[in-house]
Amino acid sequence: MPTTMEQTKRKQANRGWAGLLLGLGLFWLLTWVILPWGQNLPGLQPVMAAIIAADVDTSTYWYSQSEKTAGAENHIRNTLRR
Amino acid sequence: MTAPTSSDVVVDKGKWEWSEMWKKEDWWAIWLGFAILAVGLIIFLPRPPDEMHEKLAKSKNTLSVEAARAPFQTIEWHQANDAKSDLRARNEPYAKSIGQWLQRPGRWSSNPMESLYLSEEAAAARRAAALPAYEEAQEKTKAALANAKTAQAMAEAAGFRNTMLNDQAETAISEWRQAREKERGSLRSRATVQAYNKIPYLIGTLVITMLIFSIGTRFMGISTTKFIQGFWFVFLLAVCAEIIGNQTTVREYGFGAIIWAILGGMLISNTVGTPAFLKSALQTEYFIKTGLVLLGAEILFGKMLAIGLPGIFIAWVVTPTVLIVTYILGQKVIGLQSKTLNITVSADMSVCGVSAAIATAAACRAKKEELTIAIGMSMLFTAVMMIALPTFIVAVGMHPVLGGAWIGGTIDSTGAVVAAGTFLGETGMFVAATIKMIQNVMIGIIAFGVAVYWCARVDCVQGQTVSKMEIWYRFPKFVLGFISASIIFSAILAYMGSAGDVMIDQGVLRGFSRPLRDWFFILAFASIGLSSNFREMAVHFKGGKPAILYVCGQSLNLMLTLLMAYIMFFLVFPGVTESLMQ
Repeated sequence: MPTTMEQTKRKQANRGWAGLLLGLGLFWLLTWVILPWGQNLPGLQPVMAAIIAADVDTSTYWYSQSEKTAGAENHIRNTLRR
Repeated sequence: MTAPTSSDVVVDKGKWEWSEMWKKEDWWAIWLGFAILAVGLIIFLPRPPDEMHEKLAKSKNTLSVEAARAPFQTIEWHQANDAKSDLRARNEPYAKSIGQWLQRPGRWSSNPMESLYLSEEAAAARRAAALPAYEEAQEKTKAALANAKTAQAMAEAAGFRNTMLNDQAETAISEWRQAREKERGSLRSRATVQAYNKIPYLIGTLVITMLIFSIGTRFMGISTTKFIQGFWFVFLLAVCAEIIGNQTTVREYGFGAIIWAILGGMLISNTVGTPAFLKSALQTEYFIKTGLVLLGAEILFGKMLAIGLPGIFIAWVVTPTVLIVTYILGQKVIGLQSKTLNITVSADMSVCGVSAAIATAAACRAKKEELTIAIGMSMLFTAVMMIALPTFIVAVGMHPVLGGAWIGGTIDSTGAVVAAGTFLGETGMFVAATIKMIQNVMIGIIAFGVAVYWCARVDCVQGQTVSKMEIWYRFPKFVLGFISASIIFSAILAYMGSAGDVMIDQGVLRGFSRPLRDWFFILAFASIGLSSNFREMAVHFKGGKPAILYVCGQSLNLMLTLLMAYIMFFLVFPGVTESLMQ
């Protein structure tokens, strides 16, 4: 017969694994249901379409990670030098 | 990152020991960071692209000749500008080989394995599917170019003195640029995709990063064996986060790998628990500070002048004003308990999101949960603003230069700024991205200022006067490496001129130190996630005060940036706006 402590530990472990599965399930729901649905909302669709067409990596957080910043800087510098 | 509590506020005299230089992670971050930068310089500087100086001189000459020839940017001007932009040391074969060993997982839409491996058949199928649309886009670009050439020739025949012909030529050139941009977007990426297997390279990256960090563990009193035993798991979590962050839809919203590394780590630590064998590998500060020294090299002061005085006023006057006012608001009105959380959120919101949060949190020794809150909020609000702001700007018919400056000065992350700017057209995007870049440069000063202020005013008993030596003892030393890297690389870039853009910005930094820095940060955030717990975070988020602070600060930021952008681009420097619209 398992002791009370062992039972508690097993319960905690089960709860932990259930939490992990729930978290993964929520991630699946977000990625494959909520976010794609949001992209087609009338308010979001035009901007999202522009982002997709221009192939912008919106997840970059620093200027050197974005390919577009170097082109933008170069263009602006050369334009203002005119 | 552990914030001092009331019980461990530094009141006694600190002292300096030379052994700190090899026992403390702050110094190891400096040594490793500078060693990486030195290796980058040794690799890149002797190997410039063929005829680099001649090509740069030719582009420069064409740009000035064309600028003098016509009252608008001619086709030849754009071609010379493109040629100059495409000259990059990281495009050389040796740099591409190095890049392969530091690359991150790729993009995918429905099969996560495609992030790591793409067979020749799958690549061919993708190319075949995308080719008709790409060829059509290429044809449109050719037709638009032919049209632009005709229109320009007509304007030239009239000696560029006929306003109507000039306008027609300018419109035709603009249409050609738009067609070219469309062709070079997602269509070209899909139509030119090649087969890849990133797994061996990722194993290589694991070994490289593990070796880099293992060196210091030996001296810092961390068991190197235990560090290595746990490091692979942290790296694996980082790779998983990269894979999730590269899912097409997730990426389009701007939810990058960093947030998934934190969430993934927290999911593990708060459910099944972080395995004990990982503890020695969770060296958050070691990873983050080394990454910050590398980031320092990318803070190039010459970039501040990219758009002239309007950019400096928008990024360097509004931003610190908003930062200070928001911080005071957080302390005096909202009543945020933690000063470190307050300054991290304020910097994150007013400067440049994730990178500012990382630098400020490290400079004031904020808790990892506080950094997580700041980054999480930044990502959520950035996603909202990335959609709402350009939609509003277009709806009210705002001028693209004003709209671009507003976006660049207020949206946190560069990617979201570029995305929102794209919706305004090429000029709007160029202005937005450039303003953001100038603002990015600010974090060097902010991090240094916060570090000094915290040592002198915050980490001491009220009313206590702190001597200069005391400030030095308490000062986070990695900030010295961060600032030194910035000054040294800014000086090298200034000395090299245009060649510096090719060899330093587009070589050593973007081709070598940045990919490593990206890995260091993602490892840091995986470590943060694995050592964080939801309860602690809930305590910091009590009453939703950080969110209230963010919203209030961002509202002020929106108002002041718009006002300053209007004053600068329309009242003080209308000539700059006119030039940008050409």
